[in-house]
Amino acid sequence: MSGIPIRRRVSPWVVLFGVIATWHVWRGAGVDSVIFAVATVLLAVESIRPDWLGTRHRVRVNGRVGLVVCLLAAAVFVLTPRYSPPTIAVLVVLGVGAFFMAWYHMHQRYRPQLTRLQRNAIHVWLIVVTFLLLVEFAAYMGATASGSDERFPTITVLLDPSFDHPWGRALFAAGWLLGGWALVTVSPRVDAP
Amino acid sequence: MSTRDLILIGYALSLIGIFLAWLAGRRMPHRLASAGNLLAHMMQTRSTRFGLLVVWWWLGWHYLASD
Repeated sequence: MSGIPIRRRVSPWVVLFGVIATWHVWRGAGVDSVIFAVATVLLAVESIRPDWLGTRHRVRVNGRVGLVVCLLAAAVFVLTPRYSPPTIAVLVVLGVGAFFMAWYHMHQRYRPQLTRLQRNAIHVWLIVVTFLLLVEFAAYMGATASGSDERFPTITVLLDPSFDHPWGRALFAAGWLLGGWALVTVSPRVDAP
Repeated sequence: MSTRDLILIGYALSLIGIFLAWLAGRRMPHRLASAGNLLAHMMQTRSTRFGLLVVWWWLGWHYLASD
C-alpha cells in the first residue's frame, strides 16, 4: 500500500479555529471565542506533541446505548426552553462524550494518499461550502453595517423563529444528533478505495 | 430585487449545491468519491475528527444554548 509518511506539522485546523476565535472576539461573542480558542490550543498541542494527549484506545458506544442517549437528549431539547440549564447541561455532556469518543490516536506511520476521485470530491465540496460561507459573511457584514437583519438576514436570523417552537427544535435535534452519531461512529478508512 | 432576495437566493443555491455534490458522489463514482468515502478518509487524523466535532457541537450550542 502506497502512502505518505505522517510528518509532524501544524494542522490547518489550528489556523482555521484561530481565525474563527479571533472573529468571535471581534463580534463580541465571548463564549464562542473561548470555545474556539480552547479548541485551537488543543489542536496546536496535538500537532506538536500528539503523545501528550494521546490514547490508543477507541471508546465505542453500543448502538442501543447511543439511541437511548440521543432520545433523552432530544427530549430535553424539545421539552425545555432554549437557553435553559438542562439544555446547556445536556450539550456539555454530549460534547465531553463526543470528545472522548473521537480523541483516540491511530499511531499510523503512513497515511494513504488521496485518490483522484477524493481530490475531485474535495474540490467540489470546497466550492460549495466556500460559497455558502461567503453568502453568510456578506449577510452578516450587511446587517452589521446597515443595522437591519430584515434586509440582510443571516442563517441564524432566518432559523431563529423555528427554534422557539418545539417542532422546530425537534427537527434540528434529530438532524444534529444523527450527524453527531455519524461523526463519532464512522470508521476511519485506512486503505485506499 | 432586494438584498434580502439576493441573500435568500444565495442560501437556496448553496443548499442545491450541497445536494448536488452529495448526489454526484453517489451517481458518478468514476468521477467523484462519495461523501461517506471522503469523510472516512478524513477521519483518519485526530485533528480532523476533533475539528469536525467542534464545528458540530458549536452548531448545537449556537442554536440551542447561546442567547
